[in-house]
Amino acid sequence: MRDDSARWDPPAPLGYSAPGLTITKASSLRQHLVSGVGVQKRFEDVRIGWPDIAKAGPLALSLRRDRVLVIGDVDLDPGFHPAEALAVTDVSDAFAVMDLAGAAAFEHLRRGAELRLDRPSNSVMRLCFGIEVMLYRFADPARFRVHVPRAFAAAFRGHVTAAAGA
Amino acid sequence: MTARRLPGRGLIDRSRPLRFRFDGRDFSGYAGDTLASALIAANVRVLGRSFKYHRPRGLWGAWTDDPNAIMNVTLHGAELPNCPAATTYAVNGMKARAVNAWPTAARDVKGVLDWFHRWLGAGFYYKTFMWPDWHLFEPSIRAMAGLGHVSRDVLEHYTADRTHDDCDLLVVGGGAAGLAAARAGAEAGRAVCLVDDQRVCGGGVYQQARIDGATPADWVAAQIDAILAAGGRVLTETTAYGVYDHGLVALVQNRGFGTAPRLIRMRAAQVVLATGALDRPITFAQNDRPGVMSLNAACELLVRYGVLAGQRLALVANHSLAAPARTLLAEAGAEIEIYDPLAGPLSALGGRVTTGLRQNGRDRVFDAVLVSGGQTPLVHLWRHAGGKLDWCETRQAFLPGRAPEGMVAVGAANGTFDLDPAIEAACAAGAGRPVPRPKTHFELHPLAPEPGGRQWIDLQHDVTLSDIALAARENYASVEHLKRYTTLGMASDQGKTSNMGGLAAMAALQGKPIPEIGTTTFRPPFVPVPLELYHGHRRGQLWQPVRRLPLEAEHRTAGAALGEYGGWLRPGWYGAGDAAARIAAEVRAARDGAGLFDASPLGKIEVMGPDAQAFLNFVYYNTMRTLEPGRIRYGFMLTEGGVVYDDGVLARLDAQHFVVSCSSSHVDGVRLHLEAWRQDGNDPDRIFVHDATQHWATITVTGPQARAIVQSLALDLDLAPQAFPHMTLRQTRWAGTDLRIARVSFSGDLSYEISVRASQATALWQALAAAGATPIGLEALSIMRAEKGYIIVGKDTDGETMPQDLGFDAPRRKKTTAFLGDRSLHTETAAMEGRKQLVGLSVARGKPPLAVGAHVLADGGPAARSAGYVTSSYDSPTLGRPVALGLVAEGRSRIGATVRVWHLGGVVDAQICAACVFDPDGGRLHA
Repeated sequence: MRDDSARWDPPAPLGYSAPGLTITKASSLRQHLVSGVGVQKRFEDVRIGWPDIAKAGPLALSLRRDRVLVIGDVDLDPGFHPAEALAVTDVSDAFAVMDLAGAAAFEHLRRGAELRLDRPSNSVMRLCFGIEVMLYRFADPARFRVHVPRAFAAAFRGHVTAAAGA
Repeated sequence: MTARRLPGRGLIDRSRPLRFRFDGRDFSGYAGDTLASALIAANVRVLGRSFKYHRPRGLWGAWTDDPNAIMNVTLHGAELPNCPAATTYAVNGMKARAVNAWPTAARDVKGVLDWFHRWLGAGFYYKTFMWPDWHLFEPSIRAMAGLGHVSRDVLEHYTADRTHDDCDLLVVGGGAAGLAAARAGAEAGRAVCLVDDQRVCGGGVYQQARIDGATPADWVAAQIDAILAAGGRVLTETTAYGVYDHGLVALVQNRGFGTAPRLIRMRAAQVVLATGALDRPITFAQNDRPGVMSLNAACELLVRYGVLAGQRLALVANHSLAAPARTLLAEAGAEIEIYDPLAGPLSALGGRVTTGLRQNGRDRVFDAVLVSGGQTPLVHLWRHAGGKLDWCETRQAFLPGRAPEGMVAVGAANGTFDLDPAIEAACAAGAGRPVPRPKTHFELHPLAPEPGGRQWIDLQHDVTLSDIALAARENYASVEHLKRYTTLGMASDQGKTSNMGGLAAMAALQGKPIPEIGTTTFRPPFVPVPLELYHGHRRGQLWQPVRRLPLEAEHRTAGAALGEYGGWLRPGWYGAGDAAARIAAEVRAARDGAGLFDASPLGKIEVMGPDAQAFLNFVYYNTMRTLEPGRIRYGFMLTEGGVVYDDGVLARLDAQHFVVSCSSSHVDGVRLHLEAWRQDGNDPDRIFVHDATQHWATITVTGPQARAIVQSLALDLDLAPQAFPHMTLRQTRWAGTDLRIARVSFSGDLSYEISVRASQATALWQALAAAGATPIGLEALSIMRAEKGYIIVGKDTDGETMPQDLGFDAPRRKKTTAFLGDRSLHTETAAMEGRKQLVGLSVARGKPPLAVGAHVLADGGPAARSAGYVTSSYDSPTLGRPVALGLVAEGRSRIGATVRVWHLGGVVDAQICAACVFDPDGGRLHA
């Protein structure tokens, strides 16, 4: 039983700017976890793996064999859909989304994870700075979008900025 | 004439002189000098003291193989301990001080310890300090042990940079073989990274007069240019210090003195080891005296730093590589006399430093004695990777044998001591072609140590030939036992120079060949690295970040005392001042009116699919297949061993959609637990597990006024007890957003757990607070749940607690299908008498609460024995007396019994009672 309020700063805003690196918070996105046997095929047209460059519009981040994270205004009702054998969960508020851009963005991300642009992967799941995130490129080859569990968003931002200054 | 700097030689920059201090005296050097080279150039012979006997120590090696010259170094206020002088580049203004010596290395007062060496042999402390008690001597012995000291000043910006990198081909070592391999690899189109630990690549190549018709410097520059032109990279001052699984090589990169180094985790498809070889010492009497140095060190001092180790030099060697070294030194102006170590016992002459050499009764005066007893290939990284070693009789050395995957050794590291074959093999390795070991022209006459005088094996730790003999006599004959008994090879150089000498000595003593003695385990790091390297920016709030609540700003505004609970930063209580009074007030507010509690970390793991019901029925101890949609059931999850792993409630939304609400701190564990069992023994295509915990914030309204508070939200929902009873769930909308409301309680009072999208939590919290609910923290809730006898798994249970120990026998009797942990509940252990059971413990009104962890003493017997312990204990504001929970042997059959509770020597009486002491009939819960 201890008051540690002063030990932990209030979470900093996700925005950050330094030479070679800017971090911006992406506007609120609709995010749905969708699992099912044929889910990768079902979202094939908009499926994103690593190191794909996503464009604006509905996306399906490939997470694993039977799971995607669908982003955007897609007609999906939470729950299990027996006819399609799809499980859908709204997780729009579960993940904070931020963009890391700039000439040094990739270099800074590599401080937290083993990343290679020449090594494709079907999954965008990564353990970055010890936090399980979804990482892909968005709109630009040097802009990286990260979906971070909301409770760790400030910590992730702190890791990136602190490692960048080390 | 003694050691001196020669004009025009070396790789140092003579246009940039520098000054530094060593042991209080001023010295000068040049950019590119190491502390050691600059001191030798100034003819300083004593650079340190040995660990045990405080014997004077000079330079043995010119790079990482030197075990002697260890210094505390200060620059611009940054003091770093235990810097090897041979690898620390001198910087203008440095202040160095030899470790383990006072006032100076040259005149160390503890040098008198050497007078008592007869009583301080290997393992003396195991034998000498037996009576009356080792612990009597331990503090002073430990105070004397150790080398440098850590400064009390915090280096504010001393933060290691840590990153990941990758390449097709990592070449370790920038000598001739390494450069050739890297160039061949790069020109073959491979992504090459060459790392070399020195500031200037080239390894020992500068000892050559010409190479491919060019000067060594030109040849090295040409190789580097070619590597860079072909797209390769060259990292200098970068040491590969460890090899791990799947081609991961740890690199430490020097970023200048006073700046923390960089850790590069390099993933390499292939690794070429071109790490070279070290000179092996020869053991002879007084071979530890300053002035006895490796032949290679003398050569490197000359070619890299322009320092001649002495004018009159004795060269003691037993192999063919000594001849070109002799020529090199002689051409630099040294007078050299060759000694054959097989021709008779040797003895270094002199007092504090070497003044000469004696063999067969003949004394000669020398400035230094240069020694090489063969070459020891640096195979440390090879062994880290799991490569095998083969003994080579010709070279009298362990050479790389069966290769680990993705690794090849070339050059001297592979026993190829001749330059041209080494380069040829390295080119093949760099290009990815097979590398057979070339035939060698190397010739060596094997040496075995002969007793006579004090002969040093480990120069830093003062392990002598006599110590090896003692270990052998006392049957510490295994090389691993030898190491630990004598501390051979446990110095900061990790036995680079001493291990082979120790093995050879033990082999000779036992009359066995060296390979039968074997080697000790090679472990990272190859060179000492600061602990900071493993630390980096992970410090303070980033050391182990807590999870943040969506309502944290609200809690801070309300004056919450935040603390870490199960990995989350949560309000313990609200308001400043007397914490206990605040918490008590919160309990009373909740018991008398309505409390408002942030329960957001509670698990919200969705399980869906055609087999979800059967799966959850299997995973839970309780029967879950009969749970109707809209209903909630409390249950345990067990391990396979039948131990309670988590408790919580399961809600059913519809036929194929469930929500597992597990303990706040167990969410990740439960999710993995569910995933593991989903994929093992179940059809993973018919069950899906989604963790939505962080999508939802959960706000609990609890207390007799809870219904009225929730009603103030004007929900389209009938909150009447009959319409919305305990252990049911309803879904509705409020202010345009979805709500899931569960009538479950952890306080023992009427409660509503309202889950709302995290982004909408603030509005809901504020609305409920405005309606009159009082914010309460986790401390208040903990008291309330303890009054009710509700457990916290991990606090009120331990690693042996099974459901029946908590009074939950009935679910097992009713369950007709298999469940996780079932078999373990039928074991002898599960059924044995005397198991610890959950009970309440009460003390008289006015007494202080029992201490958590206090032992309940067993009855009878002369000696006190624990029959259990207190798991939770609080002063209950509701009851006006302390309440406690505990696990007590056969506790439930002893309800009403008075027991003695022991804590830190004190004993108090307590009475065993039911765990639930508040509203036992559940009237308030079901209100």
